[in-house]
Amino acid sequence: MSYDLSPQVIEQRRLAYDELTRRYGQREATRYEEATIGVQHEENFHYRPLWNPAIEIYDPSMTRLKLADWYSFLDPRQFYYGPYNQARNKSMENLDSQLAYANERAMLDKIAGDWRNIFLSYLLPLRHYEYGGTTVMTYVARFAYGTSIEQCASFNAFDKTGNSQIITKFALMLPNADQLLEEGKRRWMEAPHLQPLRSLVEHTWLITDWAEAIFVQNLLLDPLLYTLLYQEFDRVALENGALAVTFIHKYMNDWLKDNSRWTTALVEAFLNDDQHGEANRQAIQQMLDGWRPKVEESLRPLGVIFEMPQVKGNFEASWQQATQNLDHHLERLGLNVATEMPATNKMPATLAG
Amino acid sequence: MSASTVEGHIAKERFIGVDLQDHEEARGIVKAIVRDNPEAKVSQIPGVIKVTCHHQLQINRATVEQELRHEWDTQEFNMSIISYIGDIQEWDDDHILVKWSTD
Amino acid sequence: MARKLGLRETYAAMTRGVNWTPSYVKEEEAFPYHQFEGIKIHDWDKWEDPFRMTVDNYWKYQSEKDRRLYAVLDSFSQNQGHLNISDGRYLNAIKLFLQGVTPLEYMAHRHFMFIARYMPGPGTRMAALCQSIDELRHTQIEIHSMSPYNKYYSGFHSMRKMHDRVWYLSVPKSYFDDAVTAGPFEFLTAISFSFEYLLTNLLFVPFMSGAAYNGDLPTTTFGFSAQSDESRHMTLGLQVIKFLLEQDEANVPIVQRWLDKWFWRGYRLNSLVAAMMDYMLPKKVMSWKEAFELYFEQQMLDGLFPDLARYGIKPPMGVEQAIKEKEKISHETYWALYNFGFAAAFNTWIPTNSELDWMTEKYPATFDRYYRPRYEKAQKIVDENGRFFMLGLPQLCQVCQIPMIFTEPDDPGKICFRSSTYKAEKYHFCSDGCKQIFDWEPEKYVQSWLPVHEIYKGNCGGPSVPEVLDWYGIQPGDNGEYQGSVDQLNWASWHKDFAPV
Repeated sequence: MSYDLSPQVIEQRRLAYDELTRRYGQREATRYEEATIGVQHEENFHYRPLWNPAIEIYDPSMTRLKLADWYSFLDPRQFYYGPYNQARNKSMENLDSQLAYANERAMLDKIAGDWRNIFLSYLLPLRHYEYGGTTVMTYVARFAYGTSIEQCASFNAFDKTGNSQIITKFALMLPNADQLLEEGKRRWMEAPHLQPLRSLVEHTWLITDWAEAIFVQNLLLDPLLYTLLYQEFDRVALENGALAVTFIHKYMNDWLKDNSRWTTALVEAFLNDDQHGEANRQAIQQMLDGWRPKVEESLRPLGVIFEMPQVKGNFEASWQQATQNLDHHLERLGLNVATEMPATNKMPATLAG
Repeated sequence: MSASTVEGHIAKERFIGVDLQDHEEARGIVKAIVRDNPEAKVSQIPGVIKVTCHHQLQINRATVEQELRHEWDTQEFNMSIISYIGDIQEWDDDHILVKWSTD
Repeated sequence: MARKLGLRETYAAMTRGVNWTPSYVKEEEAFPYHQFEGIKIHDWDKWEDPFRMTVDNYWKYQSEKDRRLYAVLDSFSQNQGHLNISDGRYLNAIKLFLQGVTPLEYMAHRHFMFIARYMPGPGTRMAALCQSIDELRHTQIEIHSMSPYNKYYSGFHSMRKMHDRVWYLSVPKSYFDDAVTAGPFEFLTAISFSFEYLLTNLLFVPFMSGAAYNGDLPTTTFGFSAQSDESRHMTLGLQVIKFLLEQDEANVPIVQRWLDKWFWRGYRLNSLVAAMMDYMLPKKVMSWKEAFELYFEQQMLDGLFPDLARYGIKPPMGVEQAIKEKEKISHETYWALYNFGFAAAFNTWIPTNSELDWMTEKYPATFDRYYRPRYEKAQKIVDENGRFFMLGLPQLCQVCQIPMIFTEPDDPGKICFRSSTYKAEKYHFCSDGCKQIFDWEPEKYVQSWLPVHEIYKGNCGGPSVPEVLDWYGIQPGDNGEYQGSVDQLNWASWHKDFAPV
């Protein structure tokens, strides 16, 4: 059957789902709002988890931070599944065409021989670092309270696996990829300059406060590591003619920029909460003060990587840049920057072998 | 042991099969399946093309490409499949194989 | 230049070996949950994932699927597509889906993240991660697909709150709560295998083909789109079971017990689907009995179980009873919904004469003898005094939480009651299956949030029906009889104004 499209209009009975009209009044809702707000179950859970009877299936006590309204945080990117996938697919298509170009122009063959060893000292082991980040974010995605927060963590978890696979993809373009992957993992497990980092990553798996887990990874660890390697060391790579890998660096950098948007908004939501803002501030400050020295100590040994190319990088200057960026970001959020920094003249760890 | 020993159940012939969303590409895939699996039975309900076989159902990239007249990655089968019955035992660059393990 | 790798090698390079055993923290601290159920895994690398989906391909195919889906939804809204469905009654099936099933998709999303976090094997974790975000997709595309209906029809407006509160929705809710509070391997057996493989075609295909038959474009579209992800989930489900059974013989009895439990739990949940299929679709696809025979008996009993017999797995507990009940479960369930329809967020009605005849044809052994007289009597009451409802509160089964409406397997005339005593307290069940499940884990099921008990305890807004309905979020028109309801009146007037061309 088809219908005459006469100008007659059927009046809508509702503009949006109740969850949204209760919150925003009588107006149409966006697809992000429909897909996100109030979607998580809230009450009348039937059974306690066998694996942890102390908690409910979704339990606001899984972080020591509080929000009077858990949906006061909304993703500034307005990502629900659809736009998230579109955005990532687009970045991936870009990267793929850049890598195809690099392949065509035999850029990878032109990378000087010592770069194989350099990749083995940072990029290849970092596929494991990224995978470790998935472990943290899957925890957050399961235990964070409210769909708006866990949804961001879910995409973040998937992205981390994506980042790990992107590094693998790059490795597969190089000769003797199997060997590279194997040796990369050996270095992640054994190379002295990476052990403090691996130790830190493993310790982040044990964080039970999901908000703390987000802040350690997304406010401290990722920003410092990405700035050091994918921004600062990227310049070193360029100066040394390792053009192809800079496409990977750029992808990672762009990803970090995008990913930090939701974390920044989350911190703001916690700090701006009328009821709990001040308590949240103190708790967040405590988390950051506790973790920042450990995070910095775990990253300083990466300085050896800057010594490896023919045209060496200036690690100390890069380190200053990375920590300054971090300080500025935290200050902009209205958080204090830790006054006692770990000594910057620490001996660099021995070179990977 | 046979499942037919279940009280009140009358055993019928065992089969495997795939359900595809009814669109242009799927119709090409179905043609390829029928070419490669002569015993395949095709039936239709609104929106869905069902292909069943008694023993095994193999989808070959090469045949699908002949039918579609363009390159076809076996992973593109994800865009057509909506359900299946059986066990997907192979899914590589050239073939997809659905069968039961005991036959 | 490196050689081009095949699908299998690429997938292996991407997913295998990225994991490592922690050495700076204790392994059992990082992965504390995969041993307490008694499952033994010797070699996680034996895990096979036939789909071999890498993240880049995932983004590529999924974004294409979404692009197609949302184009259809936009055009549906722009063209007043809701006027093209077969009949206003049809949408009650879809209300039941949104209220009952969509929140389960979300539960699955969250808990597959638990699997992705805590399973030590990288193949399992990758498959769970993909499934988790697939399930988020399903939640969201369902909400988006039903959103245009919410603007014009009752019963769509408050799905999540209703799922947390309304009595008949505690059936699906308790089912999923049960799964996510179990250990990780039981969860996988319950959801990946039992729900997504064993019962998936029985649960989803009737809804989707029902939608296609009844001109419901959004449901057909999201349904097929979600089902295409679902076939990956089916593969995961079968892989889980084969992997557990192959890893250690000691796993077999554990898996058998889970299979027994989760078949029965899922089958009881499906009684709502049975009622929907036989009674709520103005254009019928097939009867529940036919669906059960095809999707369960032929596909699973004749198809799958001979494969599982190799490992010593038998068809699940209660399967004989389910076979007997195929003659009556849809009728018993819909009758209860009709009786208690004043407290449901969808409308019910007496089937038309031609629909009654259809049921006689499909259920020759039982329908005319047991069920047709009920509707004839109900019609007489309607004709004389108006619609009746059972205003009392029914007793619920402690496990499946369905009211005690099911009859003895061999006697459609006699209600089946079973009970157990635990710590001096008596608990009631609808069937031997539910009683057995309780007896296996009484400490779990004594916790059940039983809607009727909670009303008596004063936890549901107050003691009177209007107070409870208000607490449920049920608005006038959501509940009760379809004839004369807001939806029915609107449907009639819209189809008068918009004459077919």
